Amino acid sequence: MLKVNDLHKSYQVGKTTYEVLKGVSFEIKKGEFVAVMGPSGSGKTTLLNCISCYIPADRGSIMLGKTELASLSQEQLATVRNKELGFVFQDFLLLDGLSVRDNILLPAIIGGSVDPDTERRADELCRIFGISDIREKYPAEISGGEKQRTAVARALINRPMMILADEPTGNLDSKSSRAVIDSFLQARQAMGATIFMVTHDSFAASFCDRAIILRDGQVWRSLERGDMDRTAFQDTLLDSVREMGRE
Amino acid sequence: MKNFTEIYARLRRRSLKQYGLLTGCCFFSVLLITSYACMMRSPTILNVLPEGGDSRKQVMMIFVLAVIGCAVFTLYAASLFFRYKSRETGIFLALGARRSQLRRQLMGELALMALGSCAAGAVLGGPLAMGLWQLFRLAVVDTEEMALSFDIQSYGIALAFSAFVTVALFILGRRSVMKTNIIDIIQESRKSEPIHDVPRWYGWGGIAMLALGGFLGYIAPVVFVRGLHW
Ligand SMILES: Nc1ncnc2c1ncn2[C@@H]1O[C@H](COP(=O)(O)OP(=O)(O)O)[C@@H](O)[C@H]1O
Ligand SMILES: [Mg+2]
Repeated sequence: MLKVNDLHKSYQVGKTTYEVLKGVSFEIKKGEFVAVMGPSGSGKTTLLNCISCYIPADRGSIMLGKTELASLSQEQLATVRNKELGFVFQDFLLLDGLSVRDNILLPAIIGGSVDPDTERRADELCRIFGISDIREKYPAEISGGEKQRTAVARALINRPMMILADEPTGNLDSKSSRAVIDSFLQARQAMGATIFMVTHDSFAASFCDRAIILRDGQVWRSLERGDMDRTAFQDTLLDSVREMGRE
Repeated sequence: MKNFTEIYARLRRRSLKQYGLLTGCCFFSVLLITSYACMMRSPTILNVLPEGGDSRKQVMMIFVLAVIGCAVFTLYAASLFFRYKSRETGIFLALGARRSQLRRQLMGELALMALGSCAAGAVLGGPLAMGLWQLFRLAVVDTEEMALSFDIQSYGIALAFSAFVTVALFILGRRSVMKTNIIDIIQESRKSEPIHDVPRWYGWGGIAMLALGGFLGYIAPVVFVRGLHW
């Protein structure tokens, strides 16, 4: 589904070059729910922005399905972002001037006009994520958790190959975080969504099938949950974080 | 059923304040410049102010200042408007909109706003000049030969200023769509501009500047005409 190979990215600040990603490689299979963890500044957001093609990578390859993203034109990238990827941001990034329902329909509207089928899917997503009652409200009138569930629904409306989420629970309290994580789990169960989530929260990561831990711009460790229960997996993750801190 | 144009119309309805502000600023600028031009180019006034005389030059100078002032005012209003719109643009881009798609929508809106406000300003500028002039005749002096007549040239000036406003809106709008960076928008809140305390003296400073501006405006023509022999 997604195959990242030897990805390099550096930022130029004044005369100094900071190498943030130093050869990151991994693979994500269809239907997997994967967390990317790592200390602040380890390059998680940079990695995600490269996969979204919001910033160009210096070197390496990103294959989404059979498409090499680096070889696409701006127009083609826009189409990939619209049709093949779904985005969930830390700050929700809903349009304040549109109702919850119109926000959810937005990617479909950008990609062309909306047929009754898509509208039905929007309502179905609202139902699954428990936001049916607030469909006609505006973002200013709903809670952070509801905003993020709206954003997850928006990310799913075009049936993308994959959802990319950067710290989706970063601005939420623990109860709302749980609701957003549940919406990811429901999305995977109900429509087989593939989810790639950046987080530094081991609680959020413990719901995933796998956690990729970044350190100094490289994949330091990849941990499978296997048949561990959630709390055991969270303990494993915490142990790894602690171990990284000790070194 | 729903399409991009409709979504834009919805967004517009929810931010009437921003649209109104920009349209209003353009309208007032064009209105002011048109009525000033009508007044200044009127044969009635030109008869009273002799060609090459100091008074004629003073009126001219103040007119140029008014044009510059209105131009800066309009550009500032436009930049505020486009800064407001850039969040929407960034979100659209992040979700896979093409810049050309956004540009088309924005240009349509701008064309309506610019043409509407400029036309209204240019049409109402004449009556405004006339009204002010009649007020002046009623309250200050009134003689036979003071009936105000208009010169077609003043509408040329109004047209030129309207063209400037329209072109400026198009250029700034286009640039805003082409330059908006997705990363800047999605990381906006994390590098939010620190809000500085506004010191008390800003208020008094502003009032002092107002007085200073008025005073400079008053003496500038004298300095230029008498002192520099323009
Ligand atoms: N646009 C940029 N210009 C310069 N340096 C940047 C830029 N964006 C991120 N960085 C730096 O790259 C490093 C990794 O950042 P980031 O990917 O945001 O890490 P994370 O999301 O894991 O906290 C940080 O040290 C950060 O300061
Ligand atoms: Mg980050």
